[in-house]
Amino acid sequence: MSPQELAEAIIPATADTRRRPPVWRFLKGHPQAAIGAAILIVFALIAILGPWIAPYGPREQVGPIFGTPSNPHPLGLDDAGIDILSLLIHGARITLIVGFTGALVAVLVGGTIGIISGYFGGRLDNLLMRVTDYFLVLPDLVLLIVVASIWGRSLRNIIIIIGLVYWTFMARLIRSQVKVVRERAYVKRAQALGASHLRIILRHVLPQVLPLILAQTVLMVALAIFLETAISFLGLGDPNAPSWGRMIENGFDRSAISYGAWWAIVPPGLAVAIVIMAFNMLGTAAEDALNPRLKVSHLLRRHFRMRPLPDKDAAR
Amino acid sequence: MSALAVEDLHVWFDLPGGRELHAVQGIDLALEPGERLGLVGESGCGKTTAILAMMGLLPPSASVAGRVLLAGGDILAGGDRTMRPHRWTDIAMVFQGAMNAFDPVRTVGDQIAEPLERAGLAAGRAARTRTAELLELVGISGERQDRYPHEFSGGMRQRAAIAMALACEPKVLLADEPTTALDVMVQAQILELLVRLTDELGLAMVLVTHDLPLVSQACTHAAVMYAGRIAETGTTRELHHAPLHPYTRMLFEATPDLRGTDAVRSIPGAPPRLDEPTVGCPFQPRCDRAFGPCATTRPPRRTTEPGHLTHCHLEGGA
Amino acid sequence: MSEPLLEIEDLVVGYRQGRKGVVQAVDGVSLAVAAGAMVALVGESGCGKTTTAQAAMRMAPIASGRIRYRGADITALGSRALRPIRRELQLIFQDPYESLDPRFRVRDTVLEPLQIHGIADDREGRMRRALERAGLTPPELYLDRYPHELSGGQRQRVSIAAALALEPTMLLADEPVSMLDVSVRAGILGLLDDLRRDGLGVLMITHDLSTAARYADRICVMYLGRIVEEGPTAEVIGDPRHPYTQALLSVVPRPDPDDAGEPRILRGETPNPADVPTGCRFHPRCPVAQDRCRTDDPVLAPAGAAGHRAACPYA
Repeated sequence: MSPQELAEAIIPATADTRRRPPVWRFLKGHPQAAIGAAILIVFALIAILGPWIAPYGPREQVGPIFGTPSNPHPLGLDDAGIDILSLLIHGARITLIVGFTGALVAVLVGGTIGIISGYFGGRLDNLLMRVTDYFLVLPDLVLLIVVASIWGRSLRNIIIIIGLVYWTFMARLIRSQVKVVRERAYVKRAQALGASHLRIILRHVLPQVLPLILAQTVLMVALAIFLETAISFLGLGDPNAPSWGRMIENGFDRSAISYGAWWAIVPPGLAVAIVIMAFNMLGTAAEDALNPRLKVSHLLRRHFRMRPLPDKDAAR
Repeated sequence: MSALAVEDLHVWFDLPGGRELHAVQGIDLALEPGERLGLVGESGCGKTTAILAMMGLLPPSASVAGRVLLAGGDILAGGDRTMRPHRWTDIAMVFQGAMNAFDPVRTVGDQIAEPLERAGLAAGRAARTRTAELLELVGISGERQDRYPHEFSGGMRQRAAIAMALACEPKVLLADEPTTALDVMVQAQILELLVRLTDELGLAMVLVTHDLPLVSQACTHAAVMYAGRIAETGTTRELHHAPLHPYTRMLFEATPDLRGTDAVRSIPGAPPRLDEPTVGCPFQPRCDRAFGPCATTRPPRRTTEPGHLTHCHLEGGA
Repeated sequence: MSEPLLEIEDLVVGYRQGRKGVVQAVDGVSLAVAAGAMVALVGESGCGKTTTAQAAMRMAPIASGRIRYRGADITALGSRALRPIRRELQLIFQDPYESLDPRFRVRDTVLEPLQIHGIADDREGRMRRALERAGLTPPELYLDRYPHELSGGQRQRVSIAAALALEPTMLLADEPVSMLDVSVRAGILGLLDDLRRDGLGVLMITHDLSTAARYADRICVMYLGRIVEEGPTAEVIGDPRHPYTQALLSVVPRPDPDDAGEPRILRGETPNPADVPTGCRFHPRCPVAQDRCRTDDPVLAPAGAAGHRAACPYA
């Protein structure tokens, strides 16, 4: 028993257990989550307000090729004389959209399959898990190179690829959780009452696994952004969408290094790293909060404290 | 001299927001060698916390006061530092659900030998011999020490858990709900085993349970706990035939008897919260014999026969 | 006795276990529960008592045998035809900490059966009456609470209220008090007893003979998928005929320390249902087993007073 459980086991159930909003409590208890969330809010604002706050357009030549960082262009210019800061701001929107929708596709597909597989079990479960395993062993990089070269280079295809690569994680994870929830007595009760499967899934199963799905989605966005960057870096990205990955690829492609124009590569690289880190901080903290099993290691650490006996009269 | 004596034991837990939960509020117990004491009470009464405190197995959020005397010496005084030399070697515990706590990938014998090796009592071949002896002691063939937990039935795992607690030949055994979740017949087997072990080895045993009939049958003495305090302690006979505290009587009245005809009555209400100070007797809101002073004054310690104690305002029994 | 509500006839429930083939969890069980009666199905874990109840609810695959409700055969009804039966037959689960959805307020838990069965008229009233009947009065005090804000006994009452919302005629209670504190058990059992007096049929599954002795009219003792003894409570408790029942009764702890009796502790544990002994399935542990017990599989036969039967030739 963890001290928390121990304490909970001892407190009699009462009506007035006050509860703060869970999100607020979570952020307070997990500073790294708060930091991650703060970073993401900043980037989300940049992405939303991009067109209004970017000093120049994403295709607007404003100075010399690989112009050095200077006063009107604090991050310098790229190979076409475009302001890097502006590109970075415009790219934030594309990168985040691809990350989110890619993760969403993975979560929707994987979540649905995971829930169906876990809830119904039996042969359907076997079949779906066989398919999942099949996708799981496909090498990601090969898959995405093949798909990109067959379907062409577009944002939509990148999102589909991301979904294709990551839904299996989600399906496996959700399935195992649903299998646990399915055995709960309240699910059995609903079945005994003759409730439809859809009703049981929507009313009892989904709400129970939703927090986990949300936590995993956050982690998945980080993965999706990483994959998008990788795809773009390999030259398989959408040529018309200046994502951060495309910026890095562009820099390499146009020999920014031999020009000594580090500013064409480092800023988008840093932006990707920071965003992924922020998503990770938030996601792992959420996962940690949802998975108390990871926290029982201190169970038998016996550093209780001694204190003097209470005053007999005061205890009265 | 008592094998185990507990004097004015208190345990507090820190709660979020600087509050505190007073889980054990000053309990006294004494056991002679070979004596079996049942510690009974509803869930949340502090009985498990009390024996965890006697073992010094409390988390950092806990603070403790009082004395735990083994053969006259206080082992609690220096906290973990004074507890450690005695833990498992002089005082041992069978945890609740211990039978399900075996590591599935290590043999049972390996796990029983672990406390021996840690205490430096035996190693290698000697440890194997001792493990076989221990298993035989609890009624399992010593050859089975190389088996894995899943090859044991629930009852056998519980026997193995008891063997593990006895590995370092303790003089005091604390058993937390050792038969809960076992079937009636296996429960009877385990109880028989515990009774035999205490008789043969002169072990003093505290049996923590919510099951009053179990205590009546397996123990010589019992302590009834309520809201972190001892409501009544005495021999099981005294508690059944001449209870001094209404809670003891009402617990018996709530317990159906196989051949009994008396009405079975539940106890209304619920135990008080332990994170707020109680005024008067904590059982007063649920008591069917509460009167004037119960709501305002903490009940005094009262005794009729030697060893039969209660904390209750009623004079002349419940 | 009035016409039985629920009749189970020669029920066999098997499930597949790996490659070993089919394990018979329930092997030829027959019992009947009448309106206004409480029947206790008693046995150790793995004896098939819970599976029997689940099969009666049509929640376990039935290999053979019949389930009748109010005389109508429901053994093979499809899920649509079963819906009206599901209204009348309600399950009460063992663990009140598990059987309530932690995200549902009391109100939602009790309303759910009404929603599932599409009962729209007077939902609020039905819900309140169910809560009152389950002893949660006044209902307003509980309606908006979550399970974690209730004690174990209160949770079990909510669970019972949810079962009562559809005004069933029969309750199947699977170990309804084993997870509760002693102090509140009597309250829950008393509630079931009151419902029985109101005319509901109750099938109570329990491992606790003291409880069965106190509340049931009839007791059926199960061992390894079979009923080995059944009869009126006073008969089974007062004059047990099957050696298994005798042993079980002898080890039930008694509250009075002077009333110990002579416990007859059986050695070993119940065999695996995948590996049922030949002949009488109890013979390897039976204190009075003879040679014929190894080969002859005894059936329930009258023993003692009327309505009392045991599956032992020496009963």
